[in-house]
Amino acid sequence: MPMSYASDRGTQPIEQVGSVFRLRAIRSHEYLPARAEEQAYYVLLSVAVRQDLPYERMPLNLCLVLDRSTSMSGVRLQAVREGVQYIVDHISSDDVLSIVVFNDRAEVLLSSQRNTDRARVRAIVSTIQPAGGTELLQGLGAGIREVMRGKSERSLNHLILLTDGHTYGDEQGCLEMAKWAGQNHIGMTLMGLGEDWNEALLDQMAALSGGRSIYIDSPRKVVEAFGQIVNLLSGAASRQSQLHITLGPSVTLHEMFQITPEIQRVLVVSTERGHAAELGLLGRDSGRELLMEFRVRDLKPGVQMIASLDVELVAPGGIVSGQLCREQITLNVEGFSLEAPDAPLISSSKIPTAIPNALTRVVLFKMHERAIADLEAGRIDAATQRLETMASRLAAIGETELARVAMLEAGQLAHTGMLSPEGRKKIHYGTRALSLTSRGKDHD
Amino acid sequence: MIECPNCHTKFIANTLVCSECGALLPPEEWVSNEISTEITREQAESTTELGLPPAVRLYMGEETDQSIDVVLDKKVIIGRSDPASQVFPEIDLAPYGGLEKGVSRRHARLSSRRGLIIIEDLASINGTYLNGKRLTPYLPEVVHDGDQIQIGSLPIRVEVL
Repeated sequence: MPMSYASDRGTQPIEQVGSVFRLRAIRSHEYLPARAEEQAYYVLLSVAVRQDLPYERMPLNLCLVLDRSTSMSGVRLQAVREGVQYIVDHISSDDVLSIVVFNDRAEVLLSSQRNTDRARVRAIVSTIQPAGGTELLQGLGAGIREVMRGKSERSLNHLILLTDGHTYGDEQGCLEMAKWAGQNHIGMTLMGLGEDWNEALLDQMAALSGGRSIYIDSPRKVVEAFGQIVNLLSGAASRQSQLHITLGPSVTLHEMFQITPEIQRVLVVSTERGHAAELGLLGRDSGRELLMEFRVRDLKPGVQMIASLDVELVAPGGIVSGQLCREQITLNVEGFSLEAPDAPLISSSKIPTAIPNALTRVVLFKMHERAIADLEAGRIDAATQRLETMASRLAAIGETELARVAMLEAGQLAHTGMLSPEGRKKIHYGTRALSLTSRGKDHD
Repeated sequence: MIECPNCHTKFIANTLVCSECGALLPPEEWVSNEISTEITREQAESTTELGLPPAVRLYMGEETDQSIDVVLDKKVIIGRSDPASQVFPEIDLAPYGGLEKGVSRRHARLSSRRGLIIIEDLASINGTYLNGKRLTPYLPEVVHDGDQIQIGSLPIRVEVL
């Protein structure tokens, strides 16, 4: 078959396997036409901790900060009691635990301690009574103090905050505290229960502290959510990890998104070495996938560096304890002259499908962000239209349930000018959890 | 710059997905126009058929009494006309039940290159099939005489003229 489409000049992944973790980069292009015009170049980078390492679990230093405002009464508070019990049953005697409850003021129920007495915790937690409003900053401050008290050289410090209400007036303080926590190696998981809480605030706090925000739509799922966090922390192989990026000449980093474990923007900062991003906690079961869009202009014929990607982490356990581990991948592209007689004929078959698949999910995430921005600026028609477009794209990639929610919400928005609180949360968290191993058809 | 075939938003070269509507963007074919016409001319001169562009007869649906003839002297779009969004493909499947059969407005593209007949899916929602196999969007495949293509759920038999 004289088809140059079937040429074997496709892109191969680049892999770098180190003693502690492995890097793998899937590139959109190996060749690009040499030209002055700006061109896009994508890379999907995965960072995974090796499964076969001698492994020592890091001791946890965990604080639970629990909302006990009036709205928590009944099944919600009962679910939280069960969740706490689950955690107490699944931590080891080396782990430090503390418990703080808050409404408009905070109270330390269990101060930081090892060898937690299960019966005592059960008794303490059963005394929690719902009352008052929600002031996040109160609980957060008391929780951070407990984490600082329980901190040790080797500990993995984490704060789990669970709330079901809006906090008023102390948002800025919460953000500053989240940032401080991130700088002081305290991770945060921010859980919103039900529909009446501020997802934008919890998201920003998560981003600043290098943690996650989680939507729990039903009290029945509280134990499961607590369980997932304890498992994630127990399997952690490093407290934190960084990606350093050095750009080639005439190259810019346009944007970077985390694809797994969930879709979110990655904050990139400028450093002496170029650019850097915090990747947070890496575990044996929790690697990272990152999609980067670079832009290159003035590409000349011949091989040129797009970027060098350098991942660093401090391995806390096993034989390499305390050692700085570093793996690096260099991304090159070959510029070819469009006038050359052997100019390759390149079609989409050359671009690994993982890249358009990841990009499609990033685009859905961004469409949602823009729909919410339109809605908040009062542009109801524009927001409705974006939700409808989202619904049809979601359906096309097999995300039928989320597509259905988006379609219903588009209708609701067109009629009432508002989203339902439940639909709003479902779309917000649904778009970031879009799985790459989608249940339906994809672009391949 | 490239343009989204679906919503006409412009993006820098090699952008892969439209951030406005989520459509996959067709990759550029990196071969300069002069080279491709030159090859076509060479190819054409080497054949005894006086360099005429290939033509096909398309038999629509299960009953094969309805057919249309298409000369592939340029790229032709197979789709469903929609006056509301100003889409009028060269091969319009609206009269053959296109809407019910899941035909996208811009569904697939037929063209010829170096004497071969090529079909490409344009990232349609319900897919383009060649002899029962679903095509990868924007990945060209060669069509032969007697092949069965399927646009959404509308079967079309191809006869090379």
